[in-house]
Amino acid sequence: MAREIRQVTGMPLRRAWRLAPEALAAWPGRREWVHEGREASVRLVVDLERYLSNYAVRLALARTRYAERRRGRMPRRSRDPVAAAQAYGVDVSLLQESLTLSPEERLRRLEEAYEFFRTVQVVG
Amino acid sequence: MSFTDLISDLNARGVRFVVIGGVAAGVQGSTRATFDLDICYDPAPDNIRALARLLADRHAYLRGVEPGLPFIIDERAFRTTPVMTLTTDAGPIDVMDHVAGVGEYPAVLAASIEAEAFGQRFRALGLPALIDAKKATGRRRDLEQLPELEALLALRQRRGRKQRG
Repeated sequence: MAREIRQVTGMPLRRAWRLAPEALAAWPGRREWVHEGREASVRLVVDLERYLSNYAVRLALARTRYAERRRGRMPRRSRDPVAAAQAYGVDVSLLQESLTLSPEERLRRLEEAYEFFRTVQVVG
Repeated sequence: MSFTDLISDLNARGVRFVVIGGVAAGVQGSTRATFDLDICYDPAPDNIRALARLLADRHAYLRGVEPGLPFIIDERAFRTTPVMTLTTDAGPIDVMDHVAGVGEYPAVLAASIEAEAFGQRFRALGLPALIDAKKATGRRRDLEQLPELEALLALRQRRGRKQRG
């Protein structure tokens, strides 16, 4: 919040840092926080609901998509991707079988898998 | 819930999008199960407006966070946070304006193929671009899928050659 106030108004970070907790403390009582300059000729309006919404989006992304990147060079693979996949443990026969299906049949299969895992329950 | 419901909704509202991720791979033969629909959307204002309205009508909310947090989904929200991971009445959907390793919407569209399922036509990211995207993210869970996708591409190319020959 302090960074955003600073970015928009150009005020020093230290000053923005003092205003940010004041603004945030107004939530949830108020959806907007308004700060007026000494002579009431300048108003700073913070849309708290939108600020918190953006924060929640970034939190969701961090929890659902973030994962550490693999470091170093990519491992060398054999020239034949099918042989490499087999060596990696991929069941290539399943891929070959899947390629005999139409895109519609493949999509149905994905949906069936989704429904199965959504509804399956461990009993006992 | 079904991926087709979401795709059909997007088509009905005239949203311009390309299916990416697990569903795009599944449509082209991947055998991995996936539980969300990932799309890359055209960031033009009219398109974002249509997408935001659809997601709001489908009661979109953020995945992975506590219920009840403030969440606004409209054109402005897409400008500040163009990537969102959401849950809707019709199932989970991830929306983004670019794909790592491929680029922004025009590049994603150029690297897509056309698919049709259950009466719905849509674009899906092609296998070479899916491979580039997985490499670019560098996450273990994406890199683990590379051997399968690369084998799939090779098998498809072999089948294509056989059919031509």
